[in-house]
Amino acid sequence: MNRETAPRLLLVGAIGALALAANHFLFNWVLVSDAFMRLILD
Amino acid sequence: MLSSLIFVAEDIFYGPAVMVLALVLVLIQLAVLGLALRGRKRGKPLSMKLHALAGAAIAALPVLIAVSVHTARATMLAALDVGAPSDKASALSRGISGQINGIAFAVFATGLALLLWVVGVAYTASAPGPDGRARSLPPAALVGVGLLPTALGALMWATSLVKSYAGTAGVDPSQKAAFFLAALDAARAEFARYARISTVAIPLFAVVAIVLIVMRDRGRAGPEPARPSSARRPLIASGAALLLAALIVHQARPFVAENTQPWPKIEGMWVEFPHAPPMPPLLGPDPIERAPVVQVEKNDLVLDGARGTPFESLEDKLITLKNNYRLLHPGGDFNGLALVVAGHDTPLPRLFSAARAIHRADYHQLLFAFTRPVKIIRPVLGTLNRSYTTGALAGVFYSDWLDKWGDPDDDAVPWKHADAVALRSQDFSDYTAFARRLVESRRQGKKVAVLVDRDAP
Repeated sequence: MNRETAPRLLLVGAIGALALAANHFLFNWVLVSDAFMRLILD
Repeated sequence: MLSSLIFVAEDIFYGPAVMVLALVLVLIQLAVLGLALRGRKRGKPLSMKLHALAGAAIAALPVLIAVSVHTARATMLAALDVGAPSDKASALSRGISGQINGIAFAVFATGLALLLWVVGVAYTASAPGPDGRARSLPPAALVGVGLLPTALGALMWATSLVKSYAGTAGVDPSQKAAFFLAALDAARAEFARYARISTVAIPLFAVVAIVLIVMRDRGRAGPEPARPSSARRPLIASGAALLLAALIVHQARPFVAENTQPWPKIEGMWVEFPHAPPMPPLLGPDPIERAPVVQVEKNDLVLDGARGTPFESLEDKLITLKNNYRLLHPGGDFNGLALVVAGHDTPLPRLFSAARAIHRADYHQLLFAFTRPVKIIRPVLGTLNRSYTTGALAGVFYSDWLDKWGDPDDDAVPWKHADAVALRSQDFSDYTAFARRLVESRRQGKKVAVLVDRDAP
């Protein structure tokens, strides 16, 4: 592996972590609307 | 298509602004794509900076729609606390439509703009460079593809709920809540499945990107050395990405808490009797049922919300309600039940006079209601002030156990056995004492009969 590869691999890992965080946020943010809708059905 | 968009624009908060922004962004992406195509043909690829600018502009759309959805949520919360019932229902309905239409449109419009942007970037990137070799998109871009299932899941979640919510219009009112709840459960489970696919797909694509990078670098390491470049930029970018990821996870904490924190189990039903006097703080064991509501206050009599009902008309009005029920439910059994709401300051003789009028109207069951305020604290929804009602059921008969003609009362038979508890007005000092005895007896599983005098007060 040449010297420039390692930082680029690290960047891919960091972008992966960012995408996982975005996925987690998006799912939970959208699902709060589910809680709002259940509020009136209780 | 246009008419659906107009409907969506009417339903979502700041609809016209959102539509104009979406249109402008799509036009910008189309223009950039056109420029990229022309640049490629002329052998002068478009500047990547222009693509980056066009891509960054797309972020404005989800941000604006997030504000719109937030406003829809705030409208719902505000409506829960105040307002006339009709205003409240309309604000809640607008809040629901605003959220689900907003989320559906956000995914659709952002996805369309991103798609056009990616095509433009790919066109420019794949143009042969000065060395005659075509570049390609960085493998790290693959990781973003992993988010597609969640985006698609959100779109399907919202569109299925838009349809279900519209579908509730044709459902029997008593079935509406169950119908929509089933739709919510199904949509939530489906969306969770899509989000799980993304959770697996993102690391998988990251691994693929890593393999591609390693393979390419090995290929380059051969005859000609790779172009020397600083390691600082990817390191700084990695740090920034990790920092941003931590910030996003931190910001998602209240949403996660809202979605996972169980609701407290509260005895009773979420029912309010508007402007009812404070009731004895008791928890009745019997479920609340639909029935005419006779609210006996110290200085007023309220029948089904109508204040100022004259005492002498109560019997006739209850007979009318009973007849109306039978007309509306031909063949259905009339349960002979009246819901009694009384304050702790309601004089007992007044309450028993109302019970006598109810009995004379051929109702032989009284469901005494006990409403108490309950505060529920939620991570996102905040403090919810609600009123929960429990009930205690009693039969109502003349104190001589005879019917109005002086014959043995057949309806009273189940209440006349030895274990049954008979409650008379003169045995109690006030309504609270009466209600406490009633609730205690019902909690012990005993039948309770309220015995009223035959002669009028």
